[in-house]
Amino acid sequence: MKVACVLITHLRAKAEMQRRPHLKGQPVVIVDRGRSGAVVVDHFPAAAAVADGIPLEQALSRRAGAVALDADEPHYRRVFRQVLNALQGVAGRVEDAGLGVACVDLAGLEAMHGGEERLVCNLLNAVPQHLQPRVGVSDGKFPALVAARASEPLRAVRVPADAAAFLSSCSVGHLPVSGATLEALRRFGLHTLGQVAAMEQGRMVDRFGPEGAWAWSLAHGHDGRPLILLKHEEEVTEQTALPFAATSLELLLLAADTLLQRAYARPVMRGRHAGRADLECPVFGAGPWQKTVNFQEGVGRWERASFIVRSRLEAEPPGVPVDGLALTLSGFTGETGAQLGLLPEARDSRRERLAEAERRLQARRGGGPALYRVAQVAPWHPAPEMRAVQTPLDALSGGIRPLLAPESVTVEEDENRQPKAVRLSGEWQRVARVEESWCFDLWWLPNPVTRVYYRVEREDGGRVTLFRDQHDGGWFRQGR
Amino acid sequence: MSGGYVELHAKSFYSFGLGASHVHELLAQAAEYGYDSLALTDTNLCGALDFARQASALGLRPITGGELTLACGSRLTLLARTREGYGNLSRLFTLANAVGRRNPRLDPRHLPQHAAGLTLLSGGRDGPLSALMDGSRRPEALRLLRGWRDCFGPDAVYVELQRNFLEDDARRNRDLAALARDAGAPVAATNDVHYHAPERYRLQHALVAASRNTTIDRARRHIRPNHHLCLKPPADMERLFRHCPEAVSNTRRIAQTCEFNLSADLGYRLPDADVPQGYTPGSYLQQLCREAAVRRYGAVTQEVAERLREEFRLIKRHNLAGFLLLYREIVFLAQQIMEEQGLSHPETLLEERPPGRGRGSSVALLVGYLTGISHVDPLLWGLTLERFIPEDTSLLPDIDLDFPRNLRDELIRRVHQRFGPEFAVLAGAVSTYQVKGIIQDLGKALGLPREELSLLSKQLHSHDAAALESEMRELPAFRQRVDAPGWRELLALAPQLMHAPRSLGQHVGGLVLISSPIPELVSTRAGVMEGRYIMDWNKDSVADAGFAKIDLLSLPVLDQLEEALDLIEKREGRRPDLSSIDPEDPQVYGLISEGQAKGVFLLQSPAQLKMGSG
Repeated sequence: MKVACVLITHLRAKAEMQRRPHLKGQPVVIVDRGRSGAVVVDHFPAAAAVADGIPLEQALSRRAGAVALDADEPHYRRVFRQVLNALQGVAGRVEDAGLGVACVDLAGLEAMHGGEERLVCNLLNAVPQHLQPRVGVSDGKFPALVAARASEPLRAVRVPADAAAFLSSCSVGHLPVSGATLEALRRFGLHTLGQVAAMEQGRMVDRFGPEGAWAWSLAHGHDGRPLILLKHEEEVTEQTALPFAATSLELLLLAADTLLQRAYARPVMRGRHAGRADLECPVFGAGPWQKTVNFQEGVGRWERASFIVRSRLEAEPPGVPVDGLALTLSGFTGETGAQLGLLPEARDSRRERLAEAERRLQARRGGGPALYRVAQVAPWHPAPEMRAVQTPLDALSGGIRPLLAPESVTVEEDENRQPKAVRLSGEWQRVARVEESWCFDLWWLPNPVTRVYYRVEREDGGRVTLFRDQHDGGWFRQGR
Repeated sequence: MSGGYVELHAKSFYSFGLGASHVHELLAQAAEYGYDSLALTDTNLCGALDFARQASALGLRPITGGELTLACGSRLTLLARTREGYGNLSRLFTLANAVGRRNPRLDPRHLPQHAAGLTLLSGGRDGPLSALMDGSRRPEALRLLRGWRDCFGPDAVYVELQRNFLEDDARRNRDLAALARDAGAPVAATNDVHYHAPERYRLQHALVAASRNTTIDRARRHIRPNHHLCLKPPADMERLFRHCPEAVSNTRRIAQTCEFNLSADLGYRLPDADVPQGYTPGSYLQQLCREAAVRRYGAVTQEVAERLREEFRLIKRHNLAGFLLLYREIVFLAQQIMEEQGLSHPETLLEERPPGRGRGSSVALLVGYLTGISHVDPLLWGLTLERFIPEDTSLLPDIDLDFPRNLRDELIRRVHQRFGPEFAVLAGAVSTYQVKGIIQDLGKALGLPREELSLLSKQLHSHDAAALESEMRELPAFRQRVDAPGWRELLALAPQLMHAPRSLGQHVGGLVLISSPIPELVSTRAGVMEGRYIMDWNKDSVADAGFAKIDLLSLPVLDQLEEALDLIEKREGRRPDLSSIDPEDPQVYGLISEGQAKGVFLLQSPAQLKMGSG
C-alpha cells in the first residue's frame, strides 16, 4: 500500500499568524491553560528559543518579551478539517492521524493524476500554502511520516525501496511508542532506528515487551497498519452580516433563525436531519466567538433546530459585540422519527397564507423580498436604527436590515454648530427652530458612535430629526 | 454665592454602582462653581455624615437627602428639612432595606406616616410620575401628585424637571410641567448628578455594568449614554431652564427650608441601662462596685476607695454610668451562654470568671475589673486612669472585649434578641476599591477575558492603580495589551476608582447600643448572617457621630485557654484565677527564653521564638 503522509508542522502557530497578521514576526507562544497550569503548545518562529510542552513561566523566562496567546483548539481543528477535506478532494482515502498529520492512500491514483510525482504535487497544492505542508511517500505510514519530517516545506521525500537503510540514521524519537519504552531504548544504548533494526527481534521482545517488537518492525520499515479512513462529512454553511455590531441577544437569535431557515431550505437538506450546528461570530480585535450545539437526535425542521439553538444561545450568549454570524449544519442522518400534531396548527396555516402572499407579491414585483417581519432587538438603544430590524419573510430572498437607517444630508450650520438649513430632496429648507437636542456617546463599541441630535421645525412647518456624527462631522437625517 | 440655583439631587460613590465621584470631589467642584449649598441624595445614608462634616468644613451648607426606590422600580428624592425629617428619611430607608438587603424597595404606603419634615422631589425621568405619563396614565399621575401634596404638605412637594440632553427630556419636562400646573404644584430643576465632572461619565457607565455583573453594552438599558449627568455651574443650569425660571428659583427656596445639618443636629444620647427602683445608673454602679470590691479585696481599702472615687467623678462627668452598665449586661449575657453551654456554674460570680477579656486602655478601669468587664486588676499593675479616659476628652472611651469564637457568635445573636434591632446593631463596614477589585470589575464591564484579568491580578505587585500601566508594560504577557481596545479604557479608568467606596458590609464586631431607636439616627438593614443587623454607617461615621460602640471581638486563643482551665480544674479540682497568676514566675520566663513558646498567643511567631531564645 503506497501511502503519502502530509505533515503540517506548527499548525497552531501558522493558523494564528493567518488570522492575526499583526502578530507576525513577534515572539508569540500559544498556551493551553489546562488544570495543571499554562503550558506552551506551539510558538511563532520569533520565539524559537521556547520549546513546546514547557510551562508558560519557563517560556517567558527563556524568551523575554514573549506574547502569550490562548490556544483556540476548535479553530485549529477547523483549519485542519479544511485541509483534510481538500486532500479528500484529490485522493478520496484519507486518514486523520492527529492535528497536522494526514495519511493518504495513493493506491491506484497515479494513473489518474499522470504519475506519482504529479499526484504528490496535487496533494501539496491542495493545502493552503501558508500552512507549508511537507510530504513523505512510502509503503507504510511510519516511514512516510519520517520522510515527511525529513522533507523541506512544500517539498516531498520518497522513501527508497530499502526503507530500513533510509531510516537507519533517524532517531528513535520518531517511534510511536510510550515515553517509558523510549527512555528504556535510550538507556539500553539504542539511539537510532538502525541500532534497533540491528538487534535480534527476540531480544527486543524479551527486553522491551510487545512495544519492542513493534519498534523493531518499524525500524525495518515494516508498517502494515491500515489507514483509518475519514468519513466524508457533509456540511451546510450559511452566513450573514449583522446590520451593526451588537451584543443584542435578540438580534443574534433572529440571525440564527434566518440562517437556519436558509440552510434547511437547501435542496441538499431535503429528507435529511442535522446532528450538529456550529455557530461562529467574528469579534473585533479578537478570535471569533464559537459555539457548537449538538442535537440529541437528528433535527429535520428549522423550527425545531431554532428552539434548541435559541436555548443554548440564551444560556451562553457572546459577551462582546459581534457583527456577523455563520452557521454550519453537519452530522447528517436520515429521518429518525417525527411526531406530527393531531390537528393542523393555526400558526402553520397563517404561515402558509403569508408565504403565498409573499410569492404573489414577489411575482408582481419581479423578485426580491416583498414582506418583512419587524423585530425589536434593543428598544432602549440610543441609536434608533439599532432598536429594531426587519427580516424578509422569505429568508432566502434577503438579509437582516435595520429600520430607520440614517440618510446622509447636507446641512448648513450656525455659529453654535446647530442646523440653520437642511437640503432635502434637492431643495434647501430653512430651520425655524430647534425643538430639542440630545446627544450620546457609545464609546465602548469597537467603532464608537457619538452623535448630537436635533429635532427641528422647518419654516414650512414640517419637522425633521437630524444628527451630526461627532467622529467625521457628517450630517444625517433619521426617520421620515 | 451660587445665584439662584442649588443642586438638590446628587449621588456619590456611596450609591454603589451608580455614583462615580467621591464626596470630597463633589464638594470641591461645588465650591469651585460657587455653590453655597449642596444636597447629597445617595441611594442610602452611608455617606451622609461624611458629606455633612466635609461640607461644613468647606463652608458649604449640607442638605441631607436620599433617593428611594419604590416597589414599582421608580425613584423618589427626599430632602430632610428638620431633625424629624431626617429621622423619617432614615426610617424610610430602613423600611426599604427590610424588603431587600441588597435591593431595597420602599412600599409607598409607608410614605404618609413618615412625611413630616421632608421635602419630596418627584424623581425626574426615573420618578413614578414620568412612568405613569409614559404609560399614558395621566389621571393616575395627577392623583398621585395630589396625594403627595396631602401627605407632605403643598409647600413640600416639587415636580422635578431634568435636562441632561437625553432623548425625550424636552417632551417629558413639558408634560411634567403641565401636570404640575394642573395639580397646583411647584416645579424644581435638578441635574440628576452622578459624577462631579463630565469626564467621569465612562467610569459611571462601567460601574453600572459592573454592579449588574455584565458588560456595558449589555447594561445599555440602564446607562445614560452621555456626559451631562455631572455637577454643572449654576449659570449653566439657569441657561438650560431659562424657559422655566421658577424651576431654578425654587431650588433656592427648597435649600433655605432645609435647615437640618446632620453634622451638628443629630442629637445622640448615650444609652441608659435598666436599674432597680431607687437607684440612678451612677448609684447602682457604685453599689455593684463596692460589693465586688469586698469580695475581691476583702474590704474597701483606702486605695480602692480613692480610685473608685476618682473613677466615678470621671464617669459622672462624661455620663458613662449607663454605658458601663450596658457593658455589664452584655457580659452577663455572655455568662448566661456559658452556663447554657456547661462552661460555667450559675453560682459563679461574674468577676470571678469573666467570660470575656478586656484589652487595650479599658483594663485601666477598676470599675471594669469589679464589674466583670475586665480581668486585669489595675491597682496591682499600677495602671493609670489617664490611659482610659483623659480628663478633658470629648471622645467616648474605647472598650474592646475579646470572647471565645463560639461564645461571640451566640452573644451577638443574643444581644440583638435582648435589645432588638431598634436599639442594638452592628456598625457597617464600607469596603473600598483596591487594584485587584478594580481590574475585575472594570475588566468585566469592558468585556475583557476573565482569565486574562485573573492572570493580570495574580502577576501584579503594585497596590496603586496609577501604576497599572507601567506594571503591565513590564509583564511580557500583557505589554501588548496596553494599547489594545478595552485594556486602554481599563487603564484610563482604573486610577479614578482607587479607594472609592465599593459596598457595604458588616464591621467585624462593633456593636452600637443606643437608648433611642437607631433607625431614627441612621438607617439599618439585616446582615448577611441571620439575626444580625447592621447600620449604614461605618466605624468612622460611628465615631464622628459620637456613638458608643462596643467591640465584641473573637479571639480563638480564648477557646484554647478555656479548655486548658477546664482540664486543670478537672485534674486539680481547682480552677486557676487568671487575674491572680504570678506575672513574675521565673519558670515561665525560662521557658520563653528557651524558645519553648510554640502555640502561645503573641509569642509563637518564628521571629519572636528566636528573639526569646536569643
